[in-house]
Amino acid sequence: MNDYLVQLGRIAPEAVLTVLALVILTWDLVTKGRDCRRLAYGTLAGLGLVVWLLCGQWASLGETGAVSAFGMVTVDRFGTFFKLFTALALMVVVLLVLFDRRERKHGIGEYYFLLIGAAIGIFFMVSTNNLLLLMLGLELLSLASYSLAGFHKGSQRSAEASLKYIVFGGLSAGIMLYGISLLYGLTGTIDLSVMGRGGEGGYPVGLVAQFAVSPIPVAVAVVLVLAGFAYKASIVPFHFWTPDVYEGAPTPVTTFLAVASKAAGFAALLRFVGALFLVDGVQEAVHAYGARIGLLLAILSAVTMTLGNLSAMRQRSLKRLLAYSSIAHAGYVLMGLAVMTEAGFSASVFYLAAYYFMNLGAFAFLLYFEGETNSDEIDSLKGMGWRHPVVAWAMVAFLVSLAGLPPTVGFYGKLLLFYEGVDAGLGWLVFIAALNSVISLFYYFRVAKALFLTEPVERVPNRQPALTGLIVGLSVLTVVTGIFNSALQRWSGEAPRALGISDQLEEPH
Amino acid sequence: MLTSYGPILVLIAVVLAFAVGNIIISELFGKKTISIAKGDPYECGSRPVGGARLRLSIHFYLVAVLFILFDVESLLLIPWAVAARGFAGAGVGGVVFAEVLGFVAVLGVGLAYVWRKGGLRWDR
Repeated sequence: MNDYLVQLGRIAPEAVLTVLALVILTWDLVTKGRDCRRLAYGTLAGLGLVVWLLCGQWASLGETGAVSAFGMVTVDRFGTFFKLFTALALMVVVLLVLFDRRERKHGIGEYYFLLIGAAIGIFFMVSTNNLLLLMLGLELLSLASYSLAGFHKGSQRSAEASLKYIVFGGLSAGIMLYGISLLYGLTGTIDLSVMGRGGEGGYPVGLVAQFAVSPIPVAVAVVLVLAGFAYKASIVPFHFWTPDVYEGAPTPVTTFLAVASKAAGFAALLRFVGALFLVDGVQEAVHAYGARIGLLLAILSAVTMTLGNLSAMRQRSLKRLLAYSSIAHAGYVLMGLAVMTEAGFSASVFYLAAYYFMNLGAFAFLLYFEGETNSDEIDSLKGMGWRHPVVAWAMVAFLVSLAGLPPTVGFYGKLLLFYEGVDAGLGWLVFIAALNSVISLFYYFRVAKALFLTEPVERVPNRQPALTGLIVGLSVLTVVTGIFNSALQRWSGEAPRALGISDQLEEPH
Repeated sequence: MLTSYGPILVLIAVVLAFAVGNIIISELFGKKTISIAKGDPYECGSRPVGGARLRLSIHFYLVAVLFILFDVESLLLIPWAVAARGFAGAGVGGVVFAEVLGFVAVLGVGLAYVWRKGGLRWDR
């Protein structure tokens, strides 16, 4: 009994979120949907409690410590890092829903409920080595996202987004499950750590040993599972849903999908790749195998960033531009994975953290701009810099960070990725990434140009002060974490250490 | 190792050849009569009336979804009920009972939600 409570305590954040979701839904029913402001405050309070619990969890866990709950959930710093960012990002998203001028404020209790449901999915997905629970978490996230994308039931765009998302999601979930079933058939376990090391239960051989015997089935299985992650993180060739869904979904939901959902996909991907191919103390065979998967990821990375950036150049809608830019950023994050070392992984984690700040900010600006002009065309941005100077300058900070220029956090994240890429001998990939950064400068500054390079017009009174405060806060975070990045760098360096991956895979020069 | 997949490949080839072959053979040698009845979805039975793309009431889907939900609930509860005596014997009866109560409570909130939002009313 006592042991049960200890294990329950380890999944306290998830439990609190679940109770919170139920409370919000019941509250909404009791007040007949009249009380959405207080629902939002309740959600924020609950999320605050979750953040506090997660901070406690981070402190109590050692650097490489991992404890298990009910044999399914693995609680370690890697998972806690992403959970913390998810909870914080969700708080921003809830604030965005609250500040959204175009959203009616009555009868939207389900909005918060579905957002919390998606977060529960993310929480389980990023903190498990069990492929079954990972799949369940992913599906919970997906199901909540489908309904959220179609939340504006009267809007045709929103319905289209939901339908596209569900069709793509169903397809890739099916592909991923098939891959998982193959992995299970090859190794006799669904536990990633056992699969990587080769454990006592089932066949006494890991996936790598299987690879030496029958390379093609293993490669097919791994690629099929990668497809599922690629869909969540919108990596080419599973990116087609991204622009349409981002455009059709309500902007706060788009923010959630572009930031929390995508980072969760990457977190699960990092854990998957780390557990299978970068384990401690395995023999030479791993080396060749890991290098091959690394090459695959490097090619995907190059294609993803190039396609995202080239498509973003031609966009007229700021929302679609940010959608393609998020595809391009997925490519940058993949660079760190392709390096296949612990240092590369922590560069990826750092970049994801940077991505949280700058993209939350950019989408918050988009929401402000939509609230003012009721449009998301870049052309209607013209003169915004004169009419609303505060938010416009904040947006410039986000654009600078997204383009990867100093002194912002985006620059430092890219620097780390490039450094690790060169260090691992992936010079060609770094070259392509640098070219891509130049391309991205063009379209990010097209937005800045629309903001400022027009005839000066009268400044208008700020009608969205709360949202302005949030945007300015995020822009300050983007710049400050870029200059004083050592804390974030230390935390993101510690996160992947919990995965127990070795640093021995680097090519002996 | 790879050769052990050989039989499957052979099976796939045979299945494909059988299916495609039959269609080709009947196309080549079959006797063809063309009549209006050939265009019908079913060549015998009652004549179809109207198009197939009717609008069905959304209530059918709601009921179907709710049915699945509570069907799954009973699927989980029955094995628990059968095994409950064993759990109690092992000294974890209370814990497992609390877990089941939690599960039912989540579903209960769901039912309350559907009820309140009018999902169970048929005559709207």
